[in-house]
Amino acid sequence: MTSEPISELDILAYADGHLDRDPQRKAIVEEAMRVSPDLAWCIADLCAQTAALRKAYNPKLAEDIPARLNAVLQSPNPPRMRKLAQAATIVLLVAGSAAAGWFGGRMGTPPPGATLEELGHAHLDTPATAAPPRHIETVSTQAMQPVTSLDSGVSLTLPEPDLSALGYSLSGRESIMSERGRTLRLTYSDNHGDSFALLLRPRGQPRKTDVRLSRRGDISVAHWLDGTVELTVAARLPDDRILGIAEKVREAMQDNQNPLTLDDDRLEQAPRSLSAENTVLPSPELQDNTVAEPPRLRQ
Amino acid sequence: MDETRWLIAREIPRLRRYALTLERDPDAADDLVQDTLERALRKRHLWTRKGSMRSWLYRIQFTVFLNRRPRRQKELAEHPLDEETPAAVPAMQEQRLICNDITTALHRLPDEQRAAIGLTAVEGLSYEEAAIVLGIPIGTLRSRLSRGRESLRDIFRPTRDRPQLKRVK
Repeated sequence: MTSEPISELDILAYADGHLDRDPQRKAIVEEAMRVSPDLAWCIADLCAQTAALRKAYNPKLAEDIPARLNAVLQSPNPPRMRKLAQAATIVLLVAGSAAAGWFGGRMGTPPPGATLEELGHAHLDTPATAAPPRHIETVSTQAMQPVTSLDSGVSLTLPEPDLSALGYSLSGRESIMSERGRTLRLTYSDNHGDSFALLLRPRGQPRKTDVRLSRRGDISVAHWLDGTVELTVAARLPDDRILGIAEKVREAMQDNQNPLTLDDDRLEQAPRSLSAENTVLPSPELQDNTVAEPPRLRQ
Repeated sequence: MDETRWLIAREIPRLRRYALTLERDPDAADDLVQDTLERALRKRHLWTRKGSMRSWLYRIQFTVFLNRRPRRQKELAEHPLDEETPAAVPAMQEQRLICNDITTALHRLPDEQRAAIGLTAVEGLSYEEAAIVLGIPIGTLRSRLSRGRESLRDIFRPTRDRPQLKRVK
């Protein structure tokens, strides 16, 4: 038999039993094993791994299904997330005319292409007039069209930062539209009349950065990226207080029971290439969860 | 129960098994499955009925798992995994030790490698299907599997001067 090069995937596929459905390729790998004891040793190790993994995890299949999991499928309206009702949340929509009316705020008109820092400077003195409801229900998915791009129908569900430890409470919400997308502005105020603006905007590519402080006149702006959200705190406050607020917001985002969730319908859309006719089903042995036997060298 | 819910219910055992490769703690694994089921029901309008329900659910589960990572990383920082050194044990306990070693070894791998190995070696998905579920090119899957499986060889069955996984002629 002609010696053909085999790839890493061939080796792994052999060890995992996937080549049982491709006898020709399987024979090539076995021929390579016959002429290379090192390869045979490697594959034997991998087969032992696969066998150990299946031996360790297959018993899970035989366990009774916990009642709480069956209950999910029997519930007519499953909750959005398990602990959602325990915390106020905000939903940040990238686009969709329903969002503007839903937030109920005035639409700002900042300069085209304004960065979030520029928005912070521009909108600090324009108070948000929307009365903040105690709890905002998330937008029903029926209100959203199937997404075709990042600029439509993407929503973020995240916790409303609780800054009461710093003496601030939420006093306003507003949606700001710009060329760079839709931005949510939250206004926090304390009992002394001090206030600051927290602006949030969703991002396509997750990234984290440190807090960066900038100042323009008497307005300080703290700006950072936290995964799929871009945030800015803007206020006429000393730098150390701005930084303290920014750190508190970061903590609030991380310590919550409802982690930031990019609720993108595209992630759940069944890709066309996963069609039943194109799906390569595992071999019957794998479907029956039989532990794969280590390969034997041809004599 | 409608047909879609019935199709989803049929996959719960496999979802629980895969969740256990992602989340080491069984309760956390079932939490992940519960979140997956809730999300699948809310998104069931996106399943076109022309594809594999199982792969679609794996995809949702992996997405939910990734979204939970910031909290997981914080918990790991507060409660790091104990270093377990394989010790000589009586032969009668050898099988149990092997199981403990492989699950411990698997959970020492980075999330992405563990997710790839879970789908291919445990769940039996083809590499093409696993790449689609994970949303990565087949080349990236190959890389993750190669590194992950080699790392498992170091942790699970350490041997000196063993041959490396490589292309051969």
